Amino acid sequence: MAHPVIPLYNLATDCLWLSMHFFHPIQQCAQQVYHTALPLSPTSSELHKHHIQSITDDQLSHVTAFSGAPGTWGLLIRTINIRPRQLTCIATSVQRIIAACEDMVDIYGAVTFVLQQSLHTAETVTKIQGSPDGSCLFFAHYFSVTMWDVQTGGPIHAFTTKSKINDIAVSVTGDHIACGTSDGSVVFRDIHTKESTHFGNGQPVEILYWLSPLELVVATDTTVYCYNITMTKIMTSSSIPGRVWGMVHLGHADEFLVGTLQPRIGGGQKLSFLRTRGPRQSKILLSMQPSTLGPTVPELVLTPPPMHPKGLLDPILVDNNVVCMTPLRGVQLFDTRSYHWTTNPPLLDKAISVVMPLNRNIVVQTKDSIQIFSVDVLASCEVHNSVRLSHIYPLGKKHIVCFLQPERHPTLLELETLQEIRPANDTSPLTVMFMGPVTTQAQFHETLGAVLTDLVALEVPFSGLLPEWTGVAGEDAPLSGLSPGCTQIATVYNAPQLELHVRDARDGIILASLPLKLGEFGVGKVYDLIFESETRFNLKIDGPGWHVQIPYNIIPSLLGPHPYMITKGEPVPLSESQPTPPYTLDENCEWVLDAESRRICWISPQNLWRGSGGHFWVGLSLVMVGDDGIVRKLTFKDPDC
Amino acid sequence: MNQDTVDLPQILEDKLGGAVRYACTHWTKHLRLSPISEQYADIIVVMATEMLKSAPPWIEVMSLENNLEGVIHSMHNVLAWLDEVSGPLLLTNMQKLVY
Repeated sequence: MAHPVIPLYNLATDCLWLSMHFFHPIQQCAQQVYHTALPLSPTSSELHKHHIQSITDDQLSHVTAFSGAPGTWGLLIRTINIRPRQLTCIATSVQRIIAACEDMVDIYGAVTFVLQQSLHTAETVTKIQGSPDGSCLFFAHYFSVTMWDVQTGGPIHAFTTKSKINDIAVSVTGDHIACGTSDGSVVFRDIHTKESTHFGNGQPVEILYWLSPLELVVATDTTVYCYNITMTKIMTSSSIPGRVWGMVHLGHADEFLVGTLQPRIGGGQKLSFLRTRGPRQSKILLSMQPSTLGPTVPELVLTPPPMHPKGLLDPILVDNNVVCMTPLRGVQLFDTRSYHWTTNPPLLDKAISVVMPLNRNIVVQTKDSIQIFSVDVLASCEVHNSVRLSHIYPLGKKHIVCFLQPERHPTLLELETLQEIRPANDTSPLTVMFMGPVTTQAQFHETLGAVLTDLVALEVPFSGLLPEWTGVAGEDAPLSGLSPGCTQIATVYNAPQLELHVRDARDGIILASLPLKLGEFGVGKVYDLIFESETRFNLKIDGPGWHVQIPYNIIPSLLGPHPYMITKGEPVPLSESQPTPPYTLDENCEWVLDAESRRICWISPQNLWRGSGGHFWVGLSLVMVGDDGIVRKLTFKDPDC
Repeated sequence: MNQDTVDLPQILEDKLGGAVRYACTHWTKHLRLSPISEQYADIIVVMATEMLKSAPPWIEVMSLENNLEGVIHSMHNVLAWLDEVSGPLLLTNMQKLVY
């Protein structure tokens, strides 16, 4: 017999997720409960299951189908967009999330994630710390620290430093603040008496960490030392093998983990925790011999080296796990009991910083957003397969081409089902090695080659054949088309010069080229390239008062660098104006707009990668690839029906 | 968009009335203060379950009231009350199974 409160518990949890996940669109427009939230909720959602049929029947939603919909709510609870501003740092303090964008500091509630307060500072904020009781905030600027009263929203104290501030830390009791500077000194200030003390070992300070009310741990490039504030001296100091990227105190075990980054023979970098006992057991802090101080912690090897200079970001302790992030591989969990590293879904690979958990959520800073993730979900979803999809392009009318990350092999999906197609289940992905960044559909066609293309275009079943050529279009090529017999690819280039190319689809050789004059198309813009036959294609150009089709012929040439030449025909006026699509995306790729520019559906930033190859329209369907590497298809109702 | 609706508070008053508006905003605060004994909790659980099955119109109203964060607070209230009530109800349920 089921527990009688379970249905209510499930509904309340579901309602909480729905209101947090879709807070932004519903807050702006109440009807988005029906237009966005319920249709785009996971299939396991109780509310989705209860209401989706009636919403469809009553035509409350524009969405008619959502393929690739997630089965569960997933990791991400909420995204707070800061665009067009960019975040400089974030912090959490007593049920608040504090986010700085240059000299503007926004304070959000940690339960609802609603903006509560904005503070304007005189200088750019580089670090934020809150007092333990949450009444004050400390902002580090380049050469000063300011202290703010949260209740009044005004500054109450400030002091300057001689050198650039790298890190600040407020003491456990809130009575002191320490500033680590680039000249190697630590400025230690009593908040009540306003008296400062200086100490240091001359090496630029990287990280400060209060181990106890009286002990401050300081990491520099090559050493870690502990300063006792009552004895006003450095108690212990140890050199470390590599650069410190983070420190975590395991309070329950009275142990201290120091994360270091070291070069690795054969390339890459080693990221490891060095374990040491805390002061209360050993009385000797931070001596670094693993053989005498417990088991050696296994190293996490990252190859290629992480882009971020610190390797991992801001380790934080959540239950028995140390949560760290890397811009390259997403979340890493280090189990402090089993000494085991696990890799989690690479959803957070845009992370710049991560701060302490609030209400069992971790808060992540990206370039222009704050993301809140569920720790509970995070800890339960270790990644077994890191392959994910990126860069999607339509191929013919029935297929999608995309790249498999991280090796970037191309692969195919069926447009109808979004299922991946392979020659056979046990075969590897197609082995066309990707050689450069694909930024346009035309570059994609040139990169992939045409054997794959014509197999699909001609509806020939896969036989395991591999593409015969690959090339990289280094130029800016916004438009391309494939001939009906799949023997030629025509491409319009914008740079380094406006030019038409025709390539042999089988081997990539340029068959013909035609430089175009600047202003060749007047004020119009080329929006389509369609082959009529193997030897003739048309460019469609649309502009104010000018909508034409220009034919181009491909004819053999005995002179010139290529075996063929391209000749331009006379423009043919097109009577119908360029068809207006029934639905489009707004410039931020955030809202789907109807023909009257009304916002009809909100797209979660994580569901649509905002770049070329991140999405495309097929009639009434929006096909998009998300940060999670999942391809989703959102189909809207026909506005004419 | 909500902000494009002219005189939204008056529309809400006319269409919903003060009592419904109050209930939408405060129902979980009352729930949070409700007794957790089996005698009452059984009924309240059923009522709250039915209420949340019809959550979309409620969320819609809360958005129009410019109080969408109230939905989040409300769900925390429900979950907190369930935490208190699940102990006694679970016990009763087990007793029913045993006897």
